[in-house]
Amino acid sequence: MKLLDNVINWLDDRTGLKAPIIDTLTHLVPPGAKWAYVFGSAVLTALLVQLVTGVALATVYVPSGGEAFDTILYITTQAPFGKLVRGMHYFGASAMIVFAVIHMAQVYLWGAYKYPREVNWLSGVALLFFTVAMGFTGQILRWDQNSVWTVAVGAEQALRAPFVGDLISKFLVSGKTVGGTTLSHFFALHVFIFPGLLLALLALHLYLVLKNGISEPPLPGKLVDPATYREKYHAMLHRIGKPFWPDAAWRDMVFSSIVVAGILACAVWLGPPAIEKPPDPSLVDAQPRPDWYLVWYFAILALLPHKAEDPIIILFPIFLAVTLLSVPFLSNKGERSFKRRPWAVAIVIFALGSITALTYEGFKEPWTPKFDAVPLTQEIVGSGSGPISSGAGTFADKGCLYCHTISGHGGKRGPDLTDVGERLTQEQLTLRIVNGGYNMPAYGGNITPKELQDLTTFLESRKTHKPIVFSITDVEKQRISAIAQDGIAEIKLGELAKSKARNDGVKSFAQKMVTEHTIAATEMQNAANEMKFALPDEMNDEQKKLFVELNSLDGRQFEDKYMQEILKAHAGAVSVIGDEARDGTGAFKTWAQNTLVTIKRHHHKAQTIIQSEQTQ
Amino acid sequence: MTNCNDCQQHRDSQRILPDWKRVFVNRQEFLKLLSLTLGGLISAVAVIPGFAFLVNYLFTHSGDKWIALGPKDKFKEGETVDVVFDDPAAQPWDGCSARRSVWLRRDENDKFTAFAITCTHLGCPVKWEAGPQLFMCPCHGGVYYNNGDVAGGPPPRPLRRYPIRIKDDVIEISVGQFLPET
Ligand code: FES
Repeated sequence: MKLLDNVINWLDDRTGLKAPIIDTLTHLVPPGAKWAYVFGSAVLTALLVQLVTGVALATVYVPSGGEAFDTILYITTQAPFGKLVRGMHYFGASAMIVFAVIHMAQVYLWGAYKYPREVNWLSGVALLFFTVAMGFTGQILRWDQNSVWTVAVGAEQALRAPFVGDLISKFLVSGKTVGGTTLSHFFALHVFIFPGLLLALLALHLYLVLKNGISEPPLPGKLVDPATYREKYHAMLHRIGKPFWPDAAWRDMVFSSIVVAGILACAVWLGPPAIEKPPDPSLVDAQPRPDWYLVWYFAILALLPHKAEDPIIILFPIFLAVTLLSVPFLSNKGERSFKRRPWAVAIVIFALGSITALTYEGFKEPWTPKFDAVPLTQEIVGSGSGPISSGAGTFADKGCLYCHTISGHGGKRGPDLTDVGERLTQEQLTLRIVNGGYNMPAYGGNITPKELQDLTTFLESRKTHKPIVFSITDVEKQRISAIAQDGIAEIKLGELAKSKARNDGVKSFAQKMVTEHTIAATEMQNAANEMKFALPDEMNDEQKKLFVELNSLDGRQFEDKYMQEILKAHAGAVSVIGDEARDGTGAFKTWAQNTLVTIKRHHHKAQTIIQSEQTQ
Repeated sequence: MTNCNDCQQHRDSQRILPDWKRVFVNRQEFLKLLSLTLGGLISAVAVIPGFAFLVNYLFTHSGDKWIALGPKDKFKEGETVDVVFDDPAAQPWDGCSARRSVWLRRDENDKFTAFAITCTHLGCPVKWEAGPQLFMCPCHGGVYYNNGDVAGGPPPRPLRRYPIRIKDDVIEISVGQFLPET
């Protein structure tokens, strides 16, 4: 110990570093920051993992177009610890991005970017940019087929920019086409240029954290005023501040340990991303996709309406950069607490929500034709010969299956055609196939009339809707029959009353009975057709007897009797149709529910007429 | 600080940049100018060649060579095939990443078209599907007809075509420049 002390004292005497180091470690920080403040240090820890594993990988990796792929394969499959280190490098990158975004959201929500920490925020935005740029360039260094085409896709996007597009795209691929030069330039970027800039920015960022101090947790209503903020902040530190080491540092250490353990665990159990086919740009069977943290952006590009593409591809990155960089200039004072900044909360929720949703879509890739679609089985087609079967063959041959699903087979680019036969007729189908549409090629030029005929026959047979047969109980059968006979009786008696009654009120009531019950009867017949049930077509014996009896009456006598009977019949009908509306099945039930109001109205009307007759 | 001369000297030495009006009358101001100039020169000498080398691909022209794809009789009329060739600009150490391919279509007799394989949407490699006679893009479902015109999906323009010629019955293309859109 004595020796160690001597060495330290000697070093301090010659360098004077002891005091600044101790001061830095024990600088006062506001209390109460707790766990919300651990994310920045988590990014730093992940960066340390990246530096170590990155240097290690660089000892084997050869950045040449012809050998990079082989060296990565060697690292992954043969070199001792190679797989582990590559895995850690990959998950370390993922951790940096995840925690950088969380750190940023936290700083934004806590209003910690406000005076005097504007430059902390700006340097943080630049750090996020370089972190993502490191991720992207690192993915290219993997130098498999996916890498090659990912650069190609990036260059194609750059080409959309006016004037400078061509130049940017040349910078990106280091020439005209993706090849060995592309890789060596990406290597220089990933290993020297970006890390250099990133570390310089990081130094600035950390210096600013010390200079401006860690922001105190915000209190609603406690406003930032640039004129007094610093003074108050330092007074607060002197009053209640705690030394960073160890009062705050221990939380950072605990959380960082969890992060490192997570990186290690993922590297061991999930392993580094798989190496795909070799970086041969002549292999056309490629389906490039960025690493997971850029999949959301990939999804945006896929989902854009075609017309909006050019402006969005160019303007969206600019918009993102400008928005992030302008945050501290738009509001650098005033309220810090997110409890009083609902818009800040809404923006964060919206941003994270849309990124999550887009990432989900991006992994599902419904816009991608399914070249490996499983062919339709004979069972799905429903026939082994004839036009339907050969139409199904055409459906597969012409690539329809790549984009359209039928009964669970096929792609999701176009509409599901499982029951297209219910939506479109053969003529409509033909029209669409021949002329194409927004995303659909016009097949007019390369399909024979016979193929087209079979294809549409096949498609027209795609129906899933089977008629539902209800079994109705005996009770309901009786009830339905009774209701039907009531209806017939109403019409018959109504017709009788039309000719016999002299009172205008009764006459027009009878007319109403005939019309409205005829309508009800027709609707009931429709329901019966659907329910496959035969309705009785004449009155029952009692009703027949009543008809004869009424026929023998005349004048006022007829009118009174008719109205009394109608009143009675409707009272019964209201109850029995009510039962059906409540307990019935299928179309009958619906019919009853629709008709009940009419019957009630009739009943009420009959009552009024009878009353007015009596008072006369 | 009673001496006024001291004041002036003290203020001058606090300034990094020279006082441009006095650079040739005051020794200290001149030394500032000298050092700044030399610093600029050193940086320029170090950075300019380095940067120029970094982007030397902007100064190479090697794309105008004609590349032979094979005798014309190898290609059947009405067919579109994938022909692989080596990038003339590539280096020996580029390995398989120097390989390129092109969709070559023979319509009839001497009518050949060489389509770039990259989709005009975002540059994914398109695949030729002989059944439906369409080029299809795996990325976002862009589709092109056999003549390269857009049939559906997001691509804004037809497939790009390379200049092509037949020399001594051999098909040759040039990948330096695309043909103008027709
Ligand atoms: S890249 Fe071909 S459709 Fe998007």
